Amino acid sequence: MRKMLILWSAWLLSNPLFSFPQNVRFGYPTCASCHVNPNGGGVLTPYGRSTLSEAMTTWSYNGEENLLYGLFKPSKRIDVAADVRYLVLPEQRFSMQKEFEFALNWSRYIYGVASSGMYGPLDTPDSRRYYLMATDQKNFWIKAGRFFPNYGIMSNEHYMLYRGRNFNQGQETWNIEGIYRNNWIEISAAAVLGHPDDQQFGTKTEGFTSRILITPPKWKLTTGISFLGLFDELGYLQPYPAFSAIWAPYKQLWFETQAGEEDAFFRIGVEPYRGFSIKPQVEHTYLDEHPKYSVILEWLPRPHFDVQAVFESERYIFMYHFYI
Amino acid sequence: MKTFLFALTLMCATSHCIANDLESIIRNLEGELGTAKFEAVGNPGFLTIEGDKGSITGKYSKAGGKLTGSFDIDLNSLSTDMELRDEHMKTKYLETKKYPKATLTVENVVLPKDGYFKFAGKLSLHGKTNAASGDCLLKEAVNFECKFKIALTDYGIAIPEWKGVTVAKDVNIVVRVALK
Repeated sequence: MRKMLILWSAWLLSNPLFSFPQNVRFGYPTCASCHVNPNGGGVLTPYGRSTLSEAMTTWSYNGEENLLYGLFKPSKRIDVAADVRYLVLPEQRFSMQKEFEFALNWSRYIYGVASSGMYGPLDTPDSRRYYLMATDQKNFWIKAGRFFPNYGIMSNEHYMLYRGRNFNQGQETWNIEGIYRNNWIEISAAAVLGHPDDQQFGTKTEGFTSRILITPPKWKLTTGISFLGLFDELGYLQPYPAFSAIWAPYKQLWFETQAGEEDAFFRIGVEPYRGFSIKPQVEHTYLDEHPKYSVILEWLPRPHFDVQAVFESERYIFMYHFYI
Repeated sequence: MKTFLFALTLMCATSHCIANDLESIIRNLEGELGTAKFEAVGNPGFLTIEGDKGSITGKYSKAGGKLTGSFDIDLNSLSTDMELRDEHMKTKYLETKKYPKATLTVENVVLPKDGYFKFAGKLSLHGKTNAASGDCLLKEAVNFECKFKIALTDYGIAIPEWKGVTVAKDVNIVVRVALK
């Protein structure tokens, strides 16, 4: 039972990728301004670090968001991230993620990104993201390597909608992905070419994903449909369509929903004080008999550190996150 | 009786004329008239940067269904809701210490009773003056909302850039004015 609880909690809160789609409320309809990865999560751009201080943390001093509190000057050539996430449960505590990621760039048009770390209660080593990327920094991105392809809206807490659909921690696949974006729309498609574990376990993780996102300027809305198609052992395509939307009518209030054929969640985000948010939500997945209700409290007091508390009907979980 | 009625009508007509003249004169007053906002786009990511709360003062006259006026936008009152961004906007790009206001002047713009119409005028910003034209919506004969686009480079304003995010050179301006 304890193992189940720990595993479930690990699943519940683990997210090697850490992104804030609710930043649509600040006029950021996609992740590309703040993250090297245009899909969101992972290493921040210098602008992304600056946005943390300017808009997201309760307090900060000038330059505090920089690498190691400004110990190193921002570099034009390399962006670096290192994250430690620590989980506290009623019965146990352990580090969920100890990860290092860097992104080398040539004039911000060509990138080489790689990560390495230890994950989960067993400190399992892995290199979950490594890819080459070319972009014109406006309309086009093309990526090849290991990463999560575009599906839904990358959210801070990667719920079962995605975990059950090949987007759980460690399930980053080898892909080639192309993205086109303009002021109103983003279209992306990826060929999923396998997973590092396929050879070992005799599995075949191949297929494709596609996503269309609509982001009307000034509406503070990002919405779209996604499609994941994976081939099963008999060569048949198993489809997983999904709808997602995030809308922020006010800076302190946003609504988020994502739904697939058998899964759905709905969340309200309220930020009564800058950096501190309360997020009640309801989730129902193919594993659940009944919908699950929970409340997430999240606080970003200063750059480099944030805490999260999740309260469900039968348990609570605390997560501490430190990043350089 | 007829003479009396004629005199009364004449008096009323004269009063109406005087009132009309008074109307165009009285409205040739200075006062706070409205607000200005702008919308810009930054890349990568097509982020939207909105600045508002730009207070507008000015003077104008309306006569014969035509508007002539000069509207000053206080650039120091503009806010994008991010302190550092506002500081950069005012010190590095708009240089509000040197150029504290932008001025939109219009001359003899024909006004409809209500509804949409085009306007053309001049905008002085950052020490340069260029033609400016766009669309306006007039409601209740006194409430104007006018939209037009400018190119930052036309006004000698450097393209804003911050830590890898660059603002597009075209910026949309919206001016809301309530003529008293």
